[in-house]
Amino acid sequence: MDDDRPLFRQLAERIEKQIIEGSLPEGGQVPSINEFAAFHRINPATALKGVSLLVDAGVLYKRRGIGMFVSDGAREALLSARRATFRDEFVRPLVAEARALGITPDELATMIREDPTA
Amino acid sequence: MTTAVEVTGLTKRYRSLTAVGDVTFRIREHAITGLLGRNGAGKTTLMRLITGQEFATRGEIRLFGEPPVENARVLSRTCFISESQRYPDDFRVKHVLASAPRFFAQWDADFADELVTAFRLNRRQLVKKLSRGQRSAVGVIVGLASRAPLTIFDEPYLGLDAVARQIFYDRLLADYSEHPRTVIISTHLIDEIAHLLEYAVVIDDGRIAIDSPVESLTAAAATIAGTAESVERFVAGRTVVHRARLGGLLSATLDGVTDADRAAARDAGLEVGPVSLQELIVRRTSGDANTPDSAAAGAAPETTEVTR
Amino acid sequence: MTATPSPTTASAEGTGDRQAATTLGRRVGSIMLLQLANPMTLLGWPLIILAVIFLGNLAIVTAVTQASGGGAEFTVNGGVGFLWVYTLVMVVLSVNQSFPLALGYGATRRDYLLGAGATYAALSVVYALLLATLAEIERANNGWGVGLGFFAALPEWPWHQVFLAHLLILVLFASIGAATAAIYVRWRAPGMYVFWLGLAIVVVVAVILLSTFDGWFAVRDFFHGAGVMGSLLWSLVITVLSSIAAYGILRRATPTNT
Repeated sequence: MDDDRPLFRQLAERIEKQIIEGSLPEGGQVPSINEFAAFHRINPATALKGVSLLVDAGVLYKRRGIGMFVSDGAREALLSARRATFRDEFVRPLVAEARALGITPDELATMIREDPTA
Repeated sequence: MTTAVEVTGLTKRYRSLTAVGDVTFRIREHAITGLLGRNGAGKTTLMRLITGQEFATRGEIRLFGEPPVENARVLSRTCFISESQRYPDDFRVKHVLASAPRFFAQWDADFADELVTAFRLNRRQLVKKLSRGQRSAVGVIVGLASRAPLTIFDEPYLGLDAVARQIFYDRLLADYSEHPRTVIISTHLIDEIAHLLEYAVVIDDGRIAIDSPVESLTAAAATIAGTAESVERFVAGRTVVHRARLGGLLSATLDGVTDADRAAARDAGLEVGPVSLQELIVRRTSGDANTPDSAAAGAAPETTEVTR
Repeated sequence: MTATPSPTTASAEGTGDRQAATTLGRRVGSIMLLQLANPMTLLGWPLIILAVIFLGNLAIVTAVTQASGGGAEFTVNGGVGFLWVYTLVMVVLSVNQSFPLALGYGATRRDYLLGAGATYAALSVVYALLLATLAEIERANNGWGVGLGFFAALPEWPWHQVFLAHLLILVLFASIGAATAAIYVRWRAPGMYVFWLGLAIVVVVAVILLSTFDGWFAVRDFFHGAGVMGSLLWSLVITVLSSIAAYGILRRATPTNT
């Protein structure tokens, strides 16, 4: 956990990523605040803040006395949100970097098409 | 959130030396607060004042709402593990473990045993003969197992190796989650514990330099890097706490940065990087003369060496 | 900020009734247990050492008696004085070492002083009981058959007087140790210099005054008149003053760990 964003956002993003990848399935229970805090070695108050972000966004929901669960439809919602920001977060820096290196948009497009993992 | 410790206008003078000068702050209950600062900044004096070990020259301290000096009702709820805590010469580890529980209503003997094993201490060994790190471990064990409503660790890990320090952090977090209480950790090794802290109180030269939630501290700081010209253009009119130059490049550490600022900097083709808590504190408390913008520059801080 | 804790204010209740159970008695008991955490220090080693000194003395006296062809006369040899000095040293170490620890554990100075005082008072009673009992046995068997008066105070004294004598001397030594240690804990080395210098001056001045005004006779007459037990009872003045001094000094002391 160490980049330029606040810890609680990093935690929220990690949980989102796990939901998208399916390791936290919809309807399934997520670890407790204390477990998150212990695992990531962060203050429980920070962990609570991160998880609350997702609860407020409707990605997770609480069941009083039992714990927190992944909401139905959370994965699809997260995916579409990610798609919406994909251009800003990934394409623009890529194009900017390519321009700095003198790679034309056409050349970049070719590189992407020919990439073996594409 | 309620207050565990409230300090108002507190001053402690030793003859001509002012160890703590007119300080006002509070420690939130059920939170982990870092009391940070350079050696000799007044951290230890402040903690000794809070626990009634030292008498204030002026000002007021409220510990759980009451003055702490000779006040058994509130002092019995505190545990202060001093950096160089001395134990009676005839004490073996087991004697520490046998005598400490009587002082703490919430003492957890099983937890203490578990910690003794984790830190690989030999109960039969004389505390006096332990290594520096092992002695620190004894203090950490007492502090954690005491579960005192206010637990203060003053430089708890002098001499502890990386593994033992990690054990301390992990056990502290886990136990604190289960049994919320007020914890104050004083240290100058800030990076290692930054993520554990909810609040930071930074003391510099006997004064409070920072008193803030850690999250908002680091969120409000950023490093902006790029060509000197473009960085200068961007930082004009903002709070620059540090500048580092390399050829035509400039890296400026800014305070009071918003998300919009970050976006603006990125749009201007500048690199935006994080500032660690440690870096931020160093910048704010070093009085670095190379930074013309920093307020602390110029006036060299008086050396207040309050060592114990 | 002064040392006067305010009476009850409402906000101290926070963590509930569990803390209310920390009565003065319990807190003083905690300090006593801290003193006795390693029982060997106050109850084991001193008695073991005393036994060794006793057996050594017994061996020597037996050898001498046999060499001189018997006919042992009961002689008090004072070997038991070791225990008095040991007590003084232990009080000094204890105040110096356990005071900072107790405060770190959240004890008040008052709790500490009451607890440490109670520990050494109880210890003095235990030692005195033991010594008086051994002295009684010693008298009954004519000094272990060889006239060795190791535990006795004066040859003719009954049990309760031996007990009282030992008790008075033990608390005297303990209180002097406490006062000295208190000065050190509060003012460290400079305090010690001033204290010893002051004491030396007082003694020198007293000696000069007594010599100048022929006071030595008055001193001799005083002790003669008071008798041994009377003099020991007068030592209570020093004991009480030293105890008050130790209490007063430590009430405002700030512990250090150096």
